[in-house]
Amino acid sequence: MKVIGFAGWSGAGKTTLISRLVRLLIVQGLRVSVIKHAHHNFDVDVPGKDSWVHRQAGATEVLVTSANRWALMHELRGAREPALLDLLGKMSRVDLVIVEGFKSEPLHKIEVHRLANGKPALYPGDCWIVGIATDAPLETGLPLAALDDIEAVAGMVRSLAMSVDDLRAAAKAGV
Amino acid sequence: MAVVLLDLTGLKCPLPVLRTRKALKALAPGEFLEVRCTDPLAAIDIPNLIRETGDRVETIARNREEMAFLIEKVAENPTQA
Repeated sequence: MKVIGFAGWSGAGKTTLISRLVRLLIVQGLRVSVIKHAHHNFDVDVPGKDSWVHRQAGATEVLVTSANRWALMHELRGAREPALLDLLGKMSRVDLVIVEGFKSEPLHKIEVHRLANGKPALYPGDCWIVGIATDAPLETGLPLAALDDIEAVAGMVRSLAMSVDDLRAAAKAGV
Repeated sequence: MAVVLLDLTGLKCPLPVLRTRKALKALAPGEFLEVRCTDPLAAIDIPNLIRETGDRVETIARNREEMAFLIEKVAENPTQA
């Protein structure tokens, strides 16, 4: 199982790019999953639904299931948020996991950068950014792809994704 | 010229970067670090690390199995912990 990160300011177009990328990678034959780091207030549940009521009552986990999908909600209730590697361990094994929003992990990332967004590029301060999707003429030694060139971004992802086992080995070595 | 040797052959990324970053922190400006590694991704990762730390890659030598980076410690303090 391999993993790659995406980084970029809000408004750069990460979600659009990643959704197009997921579609293309699946057409290319990969099984793909996504981990998205959200604001701490995020909730997939709907107030008033049975699952929400059970959670409010204090259930550690609520698993909702049907013939089409299942969703497991785990309430941290003050416990520490799991690290990326722990979260990856909870996912079904696929070929590639795309990770958005984990800034400090030693993980190859592709920066999504848009000129009109008016924000500075992140790559000068982050050595884990190994490729950039941008509409700006950036002068860097890093590989560049046009923001709308999803095939080129997919090529970067395929060559730069890291092995989850190698990440785990590094975490275990505790450098 | 004193060169500290760091043998990272056989290690897979991200370990070479993490070990190199740690070794660089222990050096004083003007000192050199020679890093040897075998993971092809290190060819991308080590120069990226040096770009971030503000140090300097003096030379890169490669053969089929192995690459060696000679790095000069330039920055007084690492830009990132």
